[in-house]
Amino acid sequence: MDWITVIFSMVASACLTLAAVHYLVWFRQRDAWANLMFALLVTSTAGMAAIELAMAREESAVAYGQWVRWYHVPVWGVFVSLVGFIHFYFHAGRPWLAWLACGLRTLVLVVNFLTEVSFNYVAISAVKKVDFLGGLASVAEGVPSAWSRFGQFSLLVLLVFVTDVCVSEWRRGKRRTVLLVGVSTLLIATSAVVQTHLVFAGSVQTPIMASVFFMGMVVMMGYELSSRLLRVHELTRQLQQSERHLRASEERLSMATKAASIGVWSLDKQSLTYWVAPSTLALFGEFHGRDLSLEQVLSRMHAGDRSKVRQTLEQVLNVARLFRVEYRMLSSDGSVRWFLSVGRSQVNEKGGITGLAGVTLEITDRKLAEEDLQQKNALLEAIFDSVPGMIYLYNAEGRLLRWNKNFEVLTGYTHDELRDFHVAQWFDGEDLERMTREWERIFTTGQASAELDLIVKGGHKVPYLFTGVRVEMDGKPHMIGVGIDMSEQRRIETELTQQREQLAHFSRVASLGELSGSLAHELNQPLGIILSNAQAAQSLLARDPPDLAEVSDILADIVSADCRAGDVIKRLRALLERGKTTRQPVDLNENLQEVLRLTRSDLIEHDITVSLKLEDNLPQVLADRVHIQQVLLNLIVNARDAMDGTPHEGRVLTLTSAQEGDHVHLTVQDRGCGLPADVDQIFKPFHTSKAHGLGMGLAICRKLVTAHEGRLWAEPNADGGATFHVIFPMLKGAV
Amino acid sequence: MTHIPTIGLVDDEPGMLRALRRLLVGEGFRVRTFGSAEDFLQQFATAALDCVVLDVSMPGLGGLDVQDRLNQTDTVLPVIFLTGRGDIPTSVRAIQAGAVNFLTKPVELAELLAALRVALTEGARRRAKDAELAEERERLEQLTPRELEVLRHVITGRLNKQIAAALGTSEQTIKVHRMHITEKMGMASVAELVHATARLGILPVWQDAGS
Repeated sequence: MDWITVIFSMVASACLTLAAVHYLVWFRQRDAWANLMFALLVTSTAGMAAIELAMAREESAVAYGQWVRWYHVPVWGVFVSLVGFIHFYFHAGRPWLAWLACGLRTLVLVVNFLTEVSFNYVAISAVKKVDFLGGLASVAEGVPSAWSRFGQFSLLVLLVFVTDVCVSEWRRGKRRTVLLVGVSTLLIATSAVVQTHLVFAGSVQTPIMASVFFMGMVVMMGYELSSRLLRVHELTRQLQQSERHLRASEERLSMATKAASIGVWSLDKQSLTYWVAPSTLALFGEFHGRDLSLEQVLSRMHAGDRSKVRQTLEQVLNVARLFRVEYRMLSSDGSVRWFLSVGRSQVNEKGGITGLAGVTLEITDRKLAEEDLQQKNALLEAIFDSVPGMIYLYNAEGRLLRWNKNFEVLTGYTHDELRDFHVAQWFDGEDLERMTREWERIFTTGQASAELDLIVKGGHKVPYLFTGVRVEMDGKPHMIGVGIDMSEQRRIETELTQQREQLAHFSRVASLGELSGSLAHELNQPLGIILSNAQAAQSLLARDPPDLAEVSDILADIVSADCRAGDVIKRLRALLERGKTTRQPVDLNENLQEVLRLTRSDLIEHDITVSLKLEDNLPQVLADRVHIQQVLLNLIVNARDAMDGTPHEGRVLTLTSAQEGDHVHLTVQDRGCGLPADVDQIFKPFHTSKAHGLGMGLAICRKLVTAHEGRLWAEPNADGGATFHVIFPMLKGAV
Repeated sequence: MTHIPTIGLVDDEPGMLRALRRLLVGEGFRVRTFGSAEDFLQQFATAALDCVVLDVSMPGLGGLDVQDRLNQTDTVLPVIFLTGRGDIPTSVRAIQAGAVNFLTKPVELAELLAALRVALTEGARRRAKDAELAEERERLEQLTPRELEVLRHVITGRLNKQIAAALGTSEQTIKVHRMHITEKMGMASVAELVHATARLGILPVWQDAGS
């Protein structure tokens, strides 16, 4: 194979490859006319190369002439597609020049097929072989046609067209493209045509090889087109990437706005219409369509917010700044929805305000929660202030932080005076020490309470029950609590104690009343002794000489009797007096004896024999003497009455005392009528078996014993009668 | 030398006994004291007392019990009660049972002496009455059983003839019996006999009601 075959084949195949690529580009992208034109151009160039190769190999003159005639078809194709390419590539050129060039060339083609041999030759006499690139190539020998000059005219028009395009594009600044495409087209096309015509004219002895020249042009154009293709591809890639980014960020925005229930919008100052980001339309629901006007939006707004929003927007449309406004929208179902809009003025490069942009979020829930909270706070505040006692909040340093209205009323201090009041200012003396202890307890164990006297304004003290609980606020321990005025409570307690005391007293008086006869005896006996002795002494002293020794004995007896009477009166007075309860260590045996002394003659009167079984060295108990004696007196009188129906010889009252563990145990045993089946009912108030009884005696006795942490109960005896048991706790440390 | 009355004092209170004894001895009485009712009841018969002053309430037997016991005997000892508690039911009961007085402690000497005087007079009167009765009984015991039988008819107020018919004897025999009765009893009138037999517990024979 020689070089001629190689070069033309290479040119043809290269051209077809390029053509295939650009056909494909056009096929994919139908508006890429430049690529189609280029493809046609290179296809035609391939055609030229094929025919040029055939001509170079041709031996016969006739056939050579035929090849020349057909050679004009690809040349026409190259010519027209070049015009088309330049036109579509540069989007420029004067159409009439293009049409003129194409028309002239088409005329050349038509003439070519109408003439006898071809456009270029009148006749081809012979084909001779010339050396070319180390091989032999055919070259025609004949008479060139006059039409050839007409063909060059069409080329001239083409060159004018291209030049015109290059000049205008150069001016537009696309110099590189002009240099690459326009200038190469001009130079190469011109040299190809020149070479061809020189060959046809016979001036140059080479085969026709315009396609090789055109190949150079094709390479230039292909490079330009391909680099453009690459650029487009790169741009496409970038575009796709940025589209992906955009989509991702749009999605993110959409997700974020949806998640936060944020609506994104802008308001055009000129038209006063809204644009709402499509992905956030849902937030506004019925209120914001895609292109609602400001007035439409305002019309759905709560009347109370309308002027406020309008003013805000107008201000921001006139003076660029940020804004923030809360407003209510009225749903068609009558419900109210709260929105918060935040945004800023949009400003163009010249500093003019073009509109507003912002975001809106629904705050209905927050507003409802706020309202709810406000209501709750108001309720709490109302409760706080309506509580009858005082409520206070102190910090750990003892400073008063918060308090209710009543606090001011109860203490007499004003709000300003109470601010930063210290807890220690309320107390003094022992109460201050106790408060300090309880205060520490609150912060160590969590809570405490104490009854303390509060010093109110003016200095006088009021008893209060205070409570305190530790609470954590802002990460620091505080104390919160209430104070309750105990004045009334104390008064009632005192009254109750007095009443109880009074009742016990009545009961004592009643018991003693029952004994009045024998008590009179107890008094009259010593009085009788005194009187008789005194009168005996009078008569002794009247004698001469008086018996002074006897008188001395008499006086001793008088003193002793008088003491005895005095004792009785003392005991009686103790029982009859309404004194305060005083606890002291007492000997139960001694008290039992004293009561027996008061009841002695009464028991004698009733023929009752007393049997005493008292334990020696009985431990003392802490008790009120009067109450102890009252209980014993009651039990003894009850025992006496129980034995009213007992035969005289059987009337025995047995009294015992003994220490049992850490208690002292007394029993009063009778041989009387016994107990009812329900033993405990005798201890109930108003239960009585006596004609004149109050029925309070045993009920009061049980109260008195219980008040001494003791117990009082009754049991029936196996052989008749009843035994009453009293136990008192032994005095600690007593033996 | 006149009779010095002996006063018995019964009280469970030694101080009271001492005081009263001093007082009464000072007034010239003889005094015997007893610390309990039981002591007194054992000894009073031999104590030759003219009066007893009893405490009402004492352990064991009380003053009223003592009075009951005394009333069951034929003693004429006058009783004065002295009590620390002067309740009316007790005093009424004591007076009904024959007490001379019911005094409450403390007692004035004058009051006590007045009571004692009444008691001693009463005692003397009772003793005199007692002596008269004893003489009448002595006379009655001198009658024969037949004479006693006749007497029981006489005090019904019947005539001798009626008595003779009832006893199945002659009117003359009845006259002799009546003469003996009058002599022995020292009483002439039927009225006297009726009073005397009533005091001595002799019952008349009512023939109509009898066999």
